[in-house]
Amino acid sequence: MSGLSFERVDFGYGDRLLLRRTWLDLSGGGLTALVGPNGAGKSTLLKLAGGLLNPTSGRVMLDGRSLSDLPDRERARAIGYLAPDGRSAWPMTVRNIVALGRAPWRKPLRDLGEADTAAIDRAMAQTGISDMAERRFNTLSSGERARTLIARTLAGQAPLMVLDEPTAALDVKHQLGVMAILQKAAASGTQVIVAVHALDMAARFADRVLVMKRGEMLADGPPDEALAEDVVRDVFGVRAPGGIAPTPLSVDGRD
Amino acid sequence: MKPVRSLNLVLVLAVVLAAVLSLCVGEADIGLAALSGLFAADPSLDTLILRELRLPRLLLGLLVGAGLGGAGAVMQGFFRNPLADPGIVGISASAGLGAVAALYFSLASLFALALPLAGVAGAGAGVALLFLIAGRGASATTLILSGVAVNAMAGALTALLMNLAPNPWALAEIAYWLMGSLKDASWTEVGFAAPLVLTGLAILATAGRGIEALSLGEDTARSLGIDLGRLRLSVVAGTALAVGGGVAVAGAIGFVGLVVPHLLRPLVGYRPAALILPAMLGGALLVTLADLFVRLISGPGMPLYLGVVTALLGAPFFLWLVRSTQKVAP
Repeated sequence: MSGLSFERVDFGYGDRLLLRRTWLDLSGGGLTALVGPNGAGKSTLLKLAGGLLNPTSGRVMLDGRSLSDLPDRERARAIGYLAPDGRSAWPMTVRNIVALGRAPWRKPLRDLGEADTAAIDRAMAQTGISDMAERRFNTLSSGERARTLIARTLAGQAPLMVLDEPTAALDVKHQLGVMAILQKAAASGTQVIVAVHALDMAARFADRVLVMKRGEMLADGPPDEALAEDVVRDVFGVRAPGGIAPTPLSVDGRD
Repeated sequence: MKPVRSLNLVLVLAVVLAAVLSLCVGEADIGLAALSGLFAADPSLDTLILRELRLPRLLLGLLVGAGLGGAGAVMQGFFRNPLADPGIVGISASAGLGAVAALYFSLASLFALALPLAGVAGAGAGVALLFLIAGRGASATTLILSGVAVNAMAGALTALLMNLAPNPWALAEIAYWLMGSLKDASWTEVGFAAPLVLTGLAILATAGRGIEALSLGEDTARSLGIDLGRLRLSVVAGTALAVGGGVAVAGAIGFVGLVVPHLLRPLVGYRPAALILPAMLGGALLVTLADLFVRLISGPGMPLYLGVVTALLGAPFFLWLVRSTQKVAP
């Protein structure tokens, strides 16, 4: 079980703090959804969790060690991070994109080993993209791209996965697909932290919901508490009588 | 992985073939039989021509080509941009400036390695300046404009040195040398260039894991454990050595680093890391063939410069590439 915790973390540039006095314990496992309006500091929090930013003050700890003290490679093996803009500079095949996830495990100038190949195959099976292994990334639909990039993150087999809005550009069916993949990963022992916009998706799939606004954590708990009527009104300025209900939608088997 | 390996094999074979051809073709008609006496104590005239003229010329061409091709592949991977070529973004011109300065201030007569080292220093300054202006992950436009700035700066300073050149011979020497040629290659030049270029190639080869991860952007690369600062340093050092070492002894031979990676990229599945070695081999092949072509068509009274030929072939290609990249990525 991976234990990531924020200990009174501030982050900002100059006087402007994007994240304020954040205490957070992310060691419980399961799927944690991070919600909040635009500019709430979700991406900043996730980058801090991924070790891509260092706190201005306070510490982000992983299993008792400060994240900023960990060697790059060791940190990369422990935490998988999915960036919000899902683009590839080159039209590589799906399989080669997924293989990038093995970078923290690879030795210089060596081909992929057996463990790498097995991890890649498994990640592609988990995300249902095994049959498009040889397709080029630029020919994929946005749903297929999202699944390929999640497979890339899964291939690293890190015990902790941090994903910044993997469902951003997706229609409802593909959102359901992606959330189901993440839920399965969480069920098999990976701790998943994912930023999402759709509150009903968070309510349906998450074990725990974090609610942020203007750099502060305003709620943290199971979906029915964290997405209660008053929280949603204060944070989003939206009325949700009775709180946010889990989305009743599921994917229709027929195509 | 397999297709890449067979591509490398094909390229190695092609380089060997081109090398043999290059040794046999020239003003004197020499058969391969002369090769057998290469290490003989009392070589025949044919063997002497091979040993003292054609072999060093061949080796220098291979080195210069491999350096340009490899540097092009790595820079394009790092900038995530197929237009990043050592010539276009001003690295070759900066290396040229370094070498011209060494010639101008007669540093080359102080100690033998001064000229190639000045070339490397110039190239290093050029890459550093490029990084400073363009930054990482610059858009195609920013990168090319930064390259124009670096090119202009190096060109202006080179022109200043030529302007102040003490006599017309020095001026002519600089001007011809800048056109890029392998015609004066001797073992001395090979001895200068080889350690620098080979070191550069070795450094460039280590950039593979980093530039491959960069395909998905900087944040993703860092999350995969890539130290971007260190990667940048190896791109700067590798490019400076591989390009600077070659330019200092052979002048600026343009567009090799642009054309070769572009043609080979589809054959390695567009993987930046897998492209590095083929691009080195392809660069060596292209320069050897171009030099062969230059020797075949230039008459005794009309020496054609290699750099002129590659530029004539490369410039239209560049134009076409700019148009096609604009169509794909807005």
